Amino acid sequence: MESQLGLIEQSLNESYSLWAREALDELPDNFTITDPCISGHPIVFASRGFLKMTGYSKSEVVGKNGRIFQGPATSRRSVMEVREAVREERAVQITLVNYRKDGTPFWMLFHMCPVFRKVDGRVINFVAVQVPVSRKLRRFRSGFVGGNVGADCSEEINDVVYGSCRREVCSDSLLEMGRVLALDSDVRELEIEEPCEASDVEKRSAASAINNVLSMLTHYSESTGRLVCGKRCSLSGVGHLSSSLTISLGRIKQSFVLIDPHLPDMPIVYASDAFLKLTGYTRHEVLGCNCRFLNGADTDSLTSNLIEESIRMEQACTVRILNYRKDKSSFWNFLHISPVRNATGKIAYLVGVHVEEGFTNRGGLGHGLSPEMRQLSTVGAVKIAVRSLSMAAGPSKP
Amino acid sequence: MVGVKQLVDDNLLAECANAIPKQSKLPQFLEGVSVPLYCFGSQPLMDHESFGEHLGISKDEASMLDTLLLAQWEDRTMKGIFRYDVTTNEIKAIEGRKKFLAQLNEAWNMDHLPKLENNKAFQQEGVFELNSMKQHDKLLLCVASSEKSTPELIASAAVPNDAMLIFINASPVEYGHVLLVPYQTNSFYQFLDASCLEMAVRIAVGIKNCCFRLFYNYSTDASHLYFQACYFSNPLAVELMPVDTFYGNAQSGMRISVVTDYPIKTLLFESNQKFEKMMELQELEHTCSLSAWECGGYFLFKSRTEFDLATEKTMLKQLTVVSIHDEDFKAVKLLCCNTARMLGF
Repeated sequence: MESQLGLIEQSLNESYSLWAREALDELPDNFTITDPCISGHPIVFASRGFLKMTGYSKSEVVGKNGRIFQGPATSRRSVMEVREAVREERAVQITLVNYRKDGTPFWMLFHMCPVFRKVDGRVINFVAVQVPVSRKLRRFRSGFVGGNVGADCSEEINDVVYGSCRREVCSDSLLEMGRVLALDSDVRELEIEEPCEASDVEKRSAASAINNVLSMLTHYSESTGRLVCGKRCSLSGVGHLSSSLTISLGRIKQSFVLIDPHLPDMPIVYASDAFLKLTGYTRHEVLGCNCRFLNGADTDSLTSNLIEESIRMEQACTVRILNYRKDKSSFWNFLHISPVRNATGKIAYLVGVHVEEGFTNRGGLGHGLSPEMRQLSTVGAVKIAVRSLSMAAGPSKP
Repeated sequence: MVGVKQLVDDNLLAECANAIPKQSKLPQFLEGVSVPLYCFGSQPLMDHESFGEHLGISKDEASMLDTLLLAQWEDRTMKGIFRYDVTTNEIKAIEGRKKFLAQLNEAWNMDHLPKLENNKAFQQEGVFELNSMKQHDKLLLCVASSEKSTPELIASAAVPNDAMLIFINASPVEYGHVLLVPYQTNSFYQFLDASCLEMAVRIAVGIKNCCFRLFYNYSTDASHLYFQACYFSNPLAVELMPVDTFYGNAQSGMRISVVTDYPIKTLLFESNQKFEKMMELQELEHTCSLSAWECGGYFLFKSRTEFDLATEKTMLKQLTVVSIHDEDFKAVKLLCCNTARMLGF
């Protein structure tokens, strides 16, 4: 099985050749490149400028998710906007609070864009440029912004407040309100950090940095023959998963595969790291194959027939089946197969979750959870991840 | 997200003044029942240390509580306890700027519920009665606090005295739809108070799944208080709207903001201690009563025709109708500011 670090190392080399790294290192901008195809959506490259700005060393950043730079003051909403952009495979520009290694927060303009593979339109990387933004403090009046509520109308306010407040709040605290309203009609000044707008100069600088990195990547992708581009140039093809689904599935640490029942011979289209560890195969050895390669001489054909029958009936099933690893050693596999539906309500994939009999790994966090529970929860997590796919848009059906 | 619905009630103060909770009896079906019990550790909810835990990549994997809840829900799916498979329902994005979502849920028609006006049916569906013996199968797990320092899962335990009981909703609006029923010393809560809200939020934090959404619908018809939750793979429209902060305390990190550009007046409460909840305020004087997820921008349709004809315009209208007015909203904002200040946030 490929190690995580090995995958990260290969990620850039395979698409952009060995020399891309050096060339990227020469760029003065602050940026990172991530790979959504690797579990955890890790950073696979961080520029010198970025490392200097954040105070981290390269090894502390590469392999980590961009989340490590976030902290208490990072707005959840901004994070969600970035997450949405990743999910929809589009560019985003947003101001955000990040944290340096020493724990100091700073405002920066975050500009991210996907990098598409030309041949199939699939997203293979995200480039994120970060331009520090000068911190601005907005002073404003607490209480009402522009409000002119004085003690003279507190009577009237009380009525409205009582009327429109949740009944549950209206215990003691509200009875106090009358007093508070009367006493507290002075408006205190207080400072908070406001989401600051980046200037046009900063926005332009981010956009031009993105262009620099993209043209560099495009240039080096020519040398490997795996051309990339900053715009989606062909429709997402069949047979590969969207980067957002890959990211969601990467969070599920159990052994499972996704099968596309609509393709000839029902090939595996996703295999989790734990599956590769369990079976000893590498990812490219299993993608595109039918699951039957796990069967061997002593596998009961009645059991495989039962699986096929359930798939045909679009029903879930659990079986105990003898499977074989790449090294020919066999194991009893508690296999659970379930259809998984997308936003149209139709079956998009089949999920197969594997539990090796008599194999109790992991203590700690998982303590108290039986393998069967982990198996079922994996089915649930996959169903949730796939549920948002192929969502139609529009006021009426075409 | 906590969507809080409220009701204008003239007798509110009177009722609060003599708020002696009505005692509900322990339903018989809870006696002798064994369910998985998840106990929180003793660390407080708002803990800077626990925030640090979220930073490491190794913590990316599903939490124990999340795994347990999903496993139990899927188990009930296998056992056929649900009225329908909610994942067979079509969802679509409504064209427009708000990113509203619509789900076609025809199975809702099969419900054996008291006949009500059409527009109340969805809300009515949420009303949950605990008297039926059938609820036994619907109980997925209990969540309780404990004195131990680390969280703990007991595979099979009796229902403890002070806990949150998590049931499935047999007519789910989305995958993982559950009812969270706070339960204390042989009775169910009648009113929302700080302790049960904290417990509900702790569960949401403990689940630590970005798809998990917690709701609270105020209902006069319910015999007791409960929260609802489900897993939405897409964010709700309201969560994507810009906000304007009108109260903030840099020291505690407490922020209160207005969600701008959204038809229902909505407040967002944030604290840098990872405790965050959203509050929607609306007035139910009008006949239209929406569920908390509808307020958030996720609509359900029982008929194909309605589903096909749904537009952003009609949804905006539905939401606008239930929102409180500007003047009242100002007062609510003032109340929030003052309460926050009073509590030292």
